[in-house]
Parts: sequence; structure tokens; C-alpha cells
Amino acid sequence: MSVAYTPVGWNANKIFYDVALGLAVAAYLWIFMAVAEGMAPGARFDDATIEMRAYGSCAFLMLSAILCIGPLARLDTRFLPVLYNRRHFGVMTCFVAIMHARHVIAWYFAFSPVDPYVALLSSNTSFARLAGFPFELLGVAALLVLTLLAATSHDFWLNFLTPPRWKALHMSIYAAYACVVAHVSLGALLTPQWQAMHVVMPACALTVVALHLAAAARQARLDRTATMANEAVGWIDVGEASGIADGRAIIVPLSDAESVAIFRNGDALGAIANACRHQNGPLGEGRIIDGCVTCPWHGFQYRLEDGCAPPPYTEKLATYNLRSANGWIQLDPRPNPPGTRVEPLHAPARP
Amino acid sequence: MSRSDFFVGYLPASRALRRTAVIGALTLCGAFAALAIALGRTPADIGPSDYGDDIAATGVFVAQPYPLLVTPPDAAHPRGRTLLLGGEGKRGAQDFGRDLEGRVARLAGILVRRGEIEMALVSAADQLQRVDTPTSGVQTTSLGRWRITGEICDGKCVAGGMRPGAGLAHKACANLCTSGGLPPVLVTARPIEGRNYLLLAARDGGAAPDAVADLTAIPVTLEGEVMRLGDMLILRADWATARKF
Amino acid sequence: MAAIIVTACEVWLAIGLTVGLWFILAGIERIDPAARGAYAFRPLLLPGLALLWPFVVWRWRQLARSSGGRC
Repeated sequence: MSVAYTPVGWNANKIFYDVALGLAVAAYLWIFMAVAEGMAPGARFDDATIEMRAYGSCAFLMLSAILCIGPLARLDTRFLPVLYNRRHFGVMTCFVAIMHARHVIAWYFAFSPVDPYVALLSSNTSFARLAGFPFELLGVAALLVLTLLAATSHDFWLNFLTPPRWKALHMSIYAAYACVVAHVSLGALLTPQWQAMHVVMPACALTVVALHLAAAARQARLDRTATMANEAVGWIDVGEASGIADGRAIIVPLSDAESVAIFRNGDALGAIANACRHQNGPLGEGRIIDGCVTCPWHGFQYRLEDGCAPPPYTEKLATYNLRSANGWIQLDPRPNPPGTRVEPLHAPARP
Repeated sequence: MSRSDFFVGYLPASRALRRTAVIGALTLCGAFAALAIALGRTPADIGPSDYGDDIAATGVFVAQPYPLLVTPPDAAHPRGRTLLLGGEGKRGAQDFGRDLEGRVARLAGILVRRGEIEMALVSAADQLQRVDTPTSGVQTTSLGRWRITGEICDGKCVAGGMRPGAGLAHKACANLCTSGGLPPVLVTARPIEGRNYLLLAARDGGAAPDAVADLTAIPVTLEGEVMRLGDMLILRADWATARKF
Repeated sequence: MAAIIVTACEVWLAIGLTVGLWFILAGIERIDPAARGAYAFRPLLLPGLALLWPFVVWRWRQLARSSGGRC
């Protein structure tokens, strides 16, 4: 990126996304508290306990939903708009989780001569047991990760950390989710009264796992087709030129988890690296808009002929050479240095 | 090419996409609302509790294992009423009544009560004052050795200081309370001599050891000598033989 | 032990905030051209800078040495 940073790059779609999400969260919290406060006197918890349960369960549901977005978008492109503003979903989840933690600290660990944070770390040390394990600490670990991810969600961090490090850091969301599942299992679930949570928590966790398995299975199918290409040496046959629709691409997986997107823009074909420089989004699933390859995740754009983002942006992708042989397109799997201009291959859409 | 079926965040969404987005947003709100209705119902059978009534009582002050006040027998309490005493927040009442052991004191505090578990809260010295009434003290009688199963809670929260004030989610809080001097109690699985809880003590009759922290909030079986003081039962437990489930 | 951990966290964050403030006031423009003239977003970085300050210091030095090699 080289355009000056702003706190949030607002647009109408992001505003709609945030308002919808905010309404869902507000509705959840309000209804939860109204229902819990309406329980019979003998079954009514403290306001503080009700609030910590409301915020805690809300954060769990939000985190589960966030983790479903990625695989859903892999399985069905109609979910891509949900992925677009996922970082706001994550930051909002972090705030809800912080509210949960604040209520816990201000209730269970307050009113004591001991510092609340010291009390949090020291008042339960039954580490050797499952029932009675200091599950709060698992929540602390998860909250630390959520905070770190929310704190590094601005695009500045992507450039500062470098995209591979940023991606690796943000993959720790899975560790956080595992901690949250353990936190809920060893805390709320062992409190026998909360029957609905006994259904909702496993259902959410299983959905997250199942969607990831389904997305991985789809990717494995794609990769199997890649092995043929991997074994090839030199130019690779990638199909007939007419097989690529205008404005669209085919993705050719290579070895080393690299893949190439071969786009058609009118009569011209060009090949660029498939991974977007922003967040490794699958460019080959994008479109050509205003003459530029456009990432389906966040709309980052690149020129097909040289892999460069249009000015003032400065991202550069590797380009690849194409040639035509008897109506077939062939790809040279050796990448050109990022930003290298390659003359487009002229191949009419319909021969 | 048509952009209508391809979403780019910073470009205006197509009419079809806007419609889908509104349906998606309503679905999300509906799902969250339904989940809130399901999860907000926490039908805990914790029983009603009272917090905040004033209590005034006169009785004999007992410092060990924890501060207690034993009132003389009356119609409602034929053996006398034994009140647990607690302090402000997660502190015991040990700061008060240092010179009152075995003497008559007048209490003016705040009552916390759930069922038969009662605690009087004292937050200032003038709430527990010596009365110059002669007394022959109070009798502690042994009911022999018992093996009792239940859950160890802190006497303040389980009396209604917090709701629920028991259970695993409350373990750390219970430990913080007991380490602050509040009395640990064993809420029994079945009534013992007509009582549903016992005050816990060390084997020698002093305050329960720090090891109680590892045993709170889970089902445990404790063995030891059960003592009766007024209408309260006190378990002088053999802490080394405590069994966790 | 718990008190030591809490104090260590406080010290970590205090150093982190100092480093973070220094970075957003004095360092960021030299290592990221997109930050030049952009001020409103900088406070948003503080929590991350405070949490990751050892890495920030290392990366800051690394980028400052090779300044000009980035886009």
C-alpha cells in the first residue's frame, strides 16, 4: 500500500455490515439479559453473573461465526461479502469478550484485599484436575490472542509485519478458539444448570470443525488435479483458450503451494500469481473490473500484463509466460520477477 | 462483464446483492435473538436468598474456628441461634471482636440468608459491641465421627452474597473469600442431624487449612468429628483424608 | 508468583506504550511511506505496539537500515 493510511476505510458496504452486526449483538445481549432477569426469584442470578454470561456466550457465538466465514466462502462464493469486512467482526468480538472479562474481574475477583489480577492468577491453582481446573486462565489466554489480533488488524500491520508473518499471527485465532472451547467446557458446561449451552457449545464447535474439513476436502480435490502439473517439466498444458470466460480465470496449481491465475481480458490472456499480496486471497476466483484483476476478498487490483497494482498502489505480483500450441495454452511454471511485463497472448474467446 | 454477481467491497453493491445482504442481516439478528432466548434461560435451582435486612442480636461471641455469635435459646431456636459472622466484601470478621471471646456481645449488622445458612455482616467496630452481661459461655458437644459428602462453599456467597455463589464457576471466588477469612462451609448432599450445611474447621478446632482451596466447588467427602454449637454443626475434618470425586 | 507476573505485565505494557508512542511520533514515517501525513490512524496502532514492542523495535531497526528498499 502506498496511499495514506486512514483509521478505517469506510464505505457503504462496511457501514451496512457493521450496523447489521451491531444490531445482532445488541439484540442478543438485550434479549439474553431480559430473559435471565425474568427468571423466578429462586433461579435468578446476580445481575453481574447474568451480564458476564450474556457477554461471554455472545463472544463465543461471534467467534464461532467468524471461524465459519472462511470455509463457507471457500465452499460457496456467495459468502464472500461476509468475508470482506471480517476484521470488523473480529474487533467487535474482542470488545464483547473484554466486556465479559471486565464483569468477571469486577465481580468474582473484586471486593477483596488482593489485587484483582493477582487474584485471577492465584486464587485457583487446581491445575491437576479437570473439574475445578482454573478455566479462567484459558479465557485469559484466548482474550490475549483476540486482543493481539484486533490490535494488529489495521493494514499498517500487514505491511509492518509482512504478509506471511501477519497471516501466521492471525492463524493463532484457532488456538484462541481451542482455549475458548476448553474455557467454556471446564467452566459454564460443568455448571449443570445451563442446559442450552450444553447443546449450543458443541453444535458451534462441531460446525466450525465440519466446515473446515469440507473446505479442506475441496482444496484437496483441487490439489489432486495439480499433481499432474507438478510432475510436468517445462511448459504445462493448461487447456483450450476458449475454456476461459471473458473477465474470468482458471487457476493452475503448481508445486510448493504456489498457483497461477490465467485471466482472459477480451482477446488477451495473461498469467499472474494467484495469491493476492494483501491477504493471500485467491485472485483466480476474482474478476477483471475496469481492466484490472480484482481480488474477491477485499477488492485489491492488479494489471494483468505486469502484475502491478495500478498507481498509486505499489503491490507487485509475479507474472508468468504463456504460449499457444495447436489451440492449447501452455504455461511456463517459472515465475518472472514481480512486476515483469509480459506481452498478452492473443487468443479469441471463440475460435 | 456484469458486476452484479461479483462483490467488490468498495463499489456499490448490486440490487440483488443488497437484497441478499438485508436477508442475511435479518437472519443473523434472528439467529442471535433465538439463541439469546435459549441461552438466557438459566433455570438454576439455587433457592431464594435475602441480602440486606438489618439484624440485631445479642449472644456469646465465639472466635474459633471462625467468628460466630450464639444467641440464647428461644421458641424458634431451641438450641440457640448460631450466626456466621462475615466482614465487608471478601473479608472475614476477624478484625472485630478481638477481645470478645466467650463474652456477650450485641450485634447490629446486615443479614444474608439462604435457607438455613445465615451470615451477619459486620463492617465497623461499633456493630459488634461488648455487653456487660455475665455468661457461662457456650457448650460445644461432640456428635461423634462422621463421613460426609457435599460441596465446600464460602459461607458468605452461598448464603446469598452472590447468586448462585456455588458451583465450579464460583470456585476461584470461593477461594478468594475463604483466604480472606470468610468461613468455608460444607453444603451436604443429604441432611446431617437435620442440618444442610456444616461449618468447616481444622482438626484441632481452629480455622480450616489453606488446603481447603483445592477442595472447594467440587463434590468431596470429608471425615472428622462433628461438633454442635448452638444450632450449628461444625466439622473438625481430617483434611489429609479428604476425597475428591 | 502471581504478583510477579502481574508486575511483569505492567512493566511490559509500560515499556510498550513508551516505545509505541515514540514509534508513532518519530519512527513510523521513516519506515512506511503510507504513514506520511496520516495521523488519525496512529492511535489505533498503540495497543498492538504496546503488546509487540520487542518485535516492533527489531523490525523498526531492520526497516530503518534498509529504508528505501520498500514500497
